Amino acid sequence: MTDEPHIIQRVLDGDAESFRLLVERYAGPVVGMIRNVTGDARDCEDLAQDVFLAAFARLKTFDPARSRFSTWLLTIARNMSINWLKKKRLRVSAEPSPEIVNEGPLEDVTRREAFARLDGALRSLPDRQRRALSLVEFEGLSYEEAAVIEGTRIGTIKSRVSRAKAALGEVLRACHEDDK
Amino acid sequence: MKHEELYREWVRQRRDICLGEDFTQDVMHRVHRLKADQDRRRLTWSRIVDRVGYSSWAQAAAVAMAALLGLGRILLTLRLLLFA
Repeated sequence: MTDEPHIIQRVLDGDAESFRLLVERYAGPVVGMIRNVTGDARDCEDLAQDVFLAAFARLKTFDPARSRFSTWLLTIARNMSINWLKKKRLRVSAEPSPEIVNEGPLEDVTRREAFARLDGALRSLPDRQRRALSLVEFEGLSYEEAAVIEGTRIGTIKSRVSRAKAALGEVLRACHEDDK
Repeated sequence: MKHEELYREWVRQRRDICLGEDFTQDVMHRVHRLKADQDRRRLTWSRIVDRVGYSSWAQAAAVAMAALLGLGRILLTLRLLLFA
């Protein structure tokens, strides 16, 4: 994104409308990350709006020499998702899993069931593993970027992703056993 | 379907984000409101600084700090005199 520094400078110079370009560019990754980290499809857009607003408010603290804008933005999204989860867990202990709809051809049903189980397994992963998996697998970030966002070492991220994948692999194997 | 394929398809599905139509518009609406608030606050402070007649924020802040310290010393002196 070669023009990104110019867009950021324009926003800092008072052209708030230029921020729209950043919102359009990063809305998908931010909403996706929040959805995958919080496991909440309903509130993730509201939280994503708060993330962009927070980014706008503290844009002058962004240092391009330290990280890419996407990394900085996703770090805000990560921190706000964690805070949101903490508050939510105080309110409710557990949320019901979405129902599996058993309609359509057998192959589709099997796949939907498997996806629903994977969704459930993702929700039940430890927070750190879920965040690492989300950053690397769903957002397509490198281990280095994920490590910067999580404020940890690359090896730790690799290990968390590996453990998360192993847990999901177990779920897939269990699905396969059930189909037999 | 093999595990790996199934897993890859699930990842692809989770990457697909269907954003609400008004998402960007809503964010920008809030951004402009925040900007207007920031500008108003900045203007208010600028007017105060102008009215006081100082050429920079740093100068105004230094004078305000000195005034506070002076007030603190006066209060401390009064306290010592009254409750000695």
